[in-house]
Amino acid sequence: MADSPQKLQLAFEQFARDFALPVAQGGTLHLGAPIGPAALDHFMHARPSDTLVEQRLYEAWLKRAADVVPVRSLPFPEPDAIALLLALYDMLVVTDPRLCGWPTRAARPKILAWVDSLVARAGPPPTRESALARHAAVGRVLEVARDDLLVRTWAYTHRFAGRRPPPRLLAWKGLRRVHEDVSRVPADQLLGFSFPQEDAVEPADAWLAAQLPPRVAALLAATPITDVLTCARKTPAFTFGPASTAALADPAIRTGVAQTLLVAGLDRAVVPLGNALLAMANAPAPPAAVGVVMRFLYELHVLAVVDRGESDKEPPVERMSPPAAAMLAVLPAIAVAGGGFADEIPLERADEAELRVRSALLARMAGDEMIRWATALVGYAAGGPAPSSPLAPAPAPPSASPEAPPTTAPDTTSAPATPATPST
Amino acid sequence: MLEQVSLGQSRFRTPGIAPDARGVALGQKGAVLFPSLDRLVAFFRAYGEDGSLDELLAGLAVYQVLTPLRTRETVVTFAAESSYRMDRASALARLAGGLVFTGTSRHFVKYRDAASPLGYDVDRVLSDPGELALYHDSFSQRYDIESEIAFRNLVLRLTPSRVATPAERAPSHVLVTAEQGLGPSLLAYLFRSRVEGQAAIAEWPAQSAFEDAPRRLYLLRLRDVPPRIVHLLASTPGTTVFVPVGDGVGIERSYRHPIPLESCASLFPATTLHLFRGDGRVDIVDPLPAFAPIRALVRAGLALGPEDPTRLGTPESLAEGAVGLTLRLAPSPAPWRRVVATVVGPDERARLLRLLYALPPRTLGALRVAVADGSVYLVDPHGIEGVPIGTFYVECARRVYAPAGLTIVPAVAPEVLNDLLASAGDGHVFFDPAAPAPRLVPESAFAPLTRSLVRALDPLPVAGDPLESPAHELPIVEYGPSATFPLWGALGGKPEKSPG
Repeated sequence: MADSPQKLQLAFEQFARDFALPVAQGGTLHLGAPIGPAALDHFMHARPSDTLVEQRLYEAWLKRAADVVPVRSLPFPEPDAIALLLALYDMLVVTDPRLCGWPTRAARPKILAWVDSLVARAGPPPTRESALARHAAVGRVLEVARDDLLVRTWAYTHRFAGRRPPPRLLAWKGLRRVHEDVSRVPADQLLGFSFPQEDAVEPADAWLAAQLPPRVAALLAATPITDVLTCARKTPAFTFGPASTAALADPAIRTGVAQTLLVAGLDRAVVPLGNALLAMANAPAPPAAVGVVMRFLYELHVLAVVDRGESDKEPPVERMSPPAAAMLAVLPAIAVAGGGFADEIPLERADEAELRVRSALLARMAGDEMIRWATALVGYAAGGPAPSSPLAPAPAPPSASPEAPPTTAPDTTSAPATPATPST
Repeated sequence: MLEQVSLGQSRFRTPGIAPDARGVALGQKGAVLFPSLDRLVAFFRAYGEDGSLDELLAGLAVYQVLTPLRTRETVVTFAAESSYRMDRASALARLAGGLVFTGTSRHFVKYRDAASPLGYDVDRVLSDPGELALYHDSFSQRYDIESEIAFRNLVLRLTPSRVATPAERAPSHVLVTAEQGLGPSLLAYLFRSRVEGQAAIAEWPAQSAFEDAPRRLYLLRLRDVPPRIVHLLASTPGTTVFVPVGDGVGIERSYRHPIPLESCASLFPATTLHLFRGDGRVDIVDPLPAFAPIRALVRAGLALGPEDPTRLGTPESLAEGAVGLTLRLAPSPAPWRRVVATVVGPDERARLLRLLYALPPRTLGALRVAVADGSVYLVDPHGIEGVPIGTFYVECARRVYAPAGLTIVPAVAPEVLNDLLASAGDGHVFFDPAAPAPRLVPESAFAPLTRSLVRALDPLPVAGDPLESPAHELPIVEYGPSATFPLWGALGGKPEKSPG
């Protein structure tokens, strides 16, 4: 029997106020019972009856989207963004340690199946607005944390993971010698990418650590702007997948993502981006996808020179590893081979001179062999033969998951999806 | 339909039509219908080139009319007087693309042409003639008058067109306007060039609240001007040369008005002066100011006597005279360079203070100011253009200033000038044409303007709390109450079944 519209609307009000809004603005996310994919049909068209909640939610989403691309409006509510938000909700519900015991643990596989269904239903973003709305809705997925509390009294020790203790346990603090120790569980531990410390309030849940990371990777693949902007994360390793290359094919998104990465600091992104470029070239990905990525990396270098004035400043790379050299070699390679990328960004003469200085500096740092490889990659993107790999692909960072990646994880060997275009 | 008028016909169906002495059907007025305003201007131009528009102006009226289909056309009516005048107007109007009619009040029938030498009459008049009814052999139509265009306004609003004027064909009599600052220099130049003429100052009230002074222009009537001077005046910014085309009207050199202005002189009374500029603006001087000869307005600066160097014939006497030679100011036609200082007198201090509120930060930050002897001395090494009041000074040598438009004579080198003023030290020396000796303002008296004129403020403390920064607040998970069977009652777990 289907749920009644009144119940669904009530749940949506609570979902928007206690979950969607704190995810966007920060604050406490109040999780309740899991919500299945059948509720999405109601949630994707529902509006909160409290106009203040609706206004604050829209403003928070719009601000987050406008931080990347200067848009004046955003589709609201965007059905696919709501689906991803519901998937994130269910994923966080599963992290509740009280679901580990019997008989509650029987619910976890089903909730995770709902997550898979919701993420699959969202798919890759078809338009620029959709990509921005997804990033606005679930862009802070890797910032979610949990506060665990350890309450010690003269007689007992109580553990509260993501829950508040009842007031009676904290009463008469002096007399009962009540001590409270709060420890924050970061997103990577909460979502199973890394194991908590031994003295943590809650011990590691191996089953969950095997199940959650692939689903987080699938969620990130469905929101490509978030995927690229969090490329410096440790796990899951960043790769240029079909969704991210399709999103980066849009000039507005490409420039916005490049600027946001620069503002956040390019030093942490050099190695992950180079790693992803090497993996993409070794696959090899289709020339069109390689062209999109080369265009993005070239724009990143140009903006570093034009906007940040870093023409003669060495990139803050700790050591010149092959991924870093691959990333740095893109600018000198395009300066040598052209490939039509340089013509797409018209520059003034003074900026061109600065870019030449930067190109010479990066060429010295990257080395001749890597420059030749990157030049061949530029030629491949322009329709030439695939370059031979001068190096073995850099190993991906160790993942906390012992399981194989899920089928919904991004696949760099497949052709890129249709480039994102602004909806009319 | 129209009927041809036969010889001797004396009765007409068209109201107000009667045969004239030649038997031509004629009303008291002629009317010409033009499809657009430019055709009307072409008609006036053709009529004025060949004759005088003044003969038409007495009864001339220009109407913007609306057809029943709400399209706009232009009708001009004038006193017909005789069929001779109508014949001439008819020929020129057809050339300009107009249709010619005659009538008296509202009904106008087609004027005669080669097909009907005595004119036309209507077979029946329109039952609803409106404000104007025109009968042609191809149409009969009523028109409503939308607006009337005064012929004078039409003339004043038309933009002159540029024509090529060879330099050797420059007019010998010209009118010249010059901006106020150029006036004295221009008068001196014309006097030195022995150009005969008269000068006056024309004045117009301020056109907006932003202008705090009336607009003034020097107005010169020059006779027998050499072509080179006409060319020089025409190419000098701030001066405009007008060619007189009548007693009270002139048009800018190298421009031609679409309507011959000399043929409609009655529009321009002799007690006024209308100056048509090339950009379409018309300066109307009404009434004419008093003119004075140029030679009476130039300051006589010749000081013949023992100090006159032309009288010093021998090197010995030149050397004797050089002992007593003092630095003086003399007019200089050279363009102003390095205008870096201005001196604002006591009467302009209030304006200066108002102006400081409007100055941009860069100008305000670069200004250095000293107040001495009631005057405000402002110096900006990058140029004082940002402060458009006071007497501007040009830096002739380091910290030696002469009023703009004047130069220090003898024209000694800047290094020599500094040596001659060695007693000034680091001070700033300002030459004043009204004072016998230059003024010295010590360097210590100068200070940045923002630090010397702006008063310090005591801020009023108000309570304030730092804004919360929700963007940096992390989303923290808090679980709800635990349940033994979490999926019991969970929403959306079961897909909605279709009614079928």
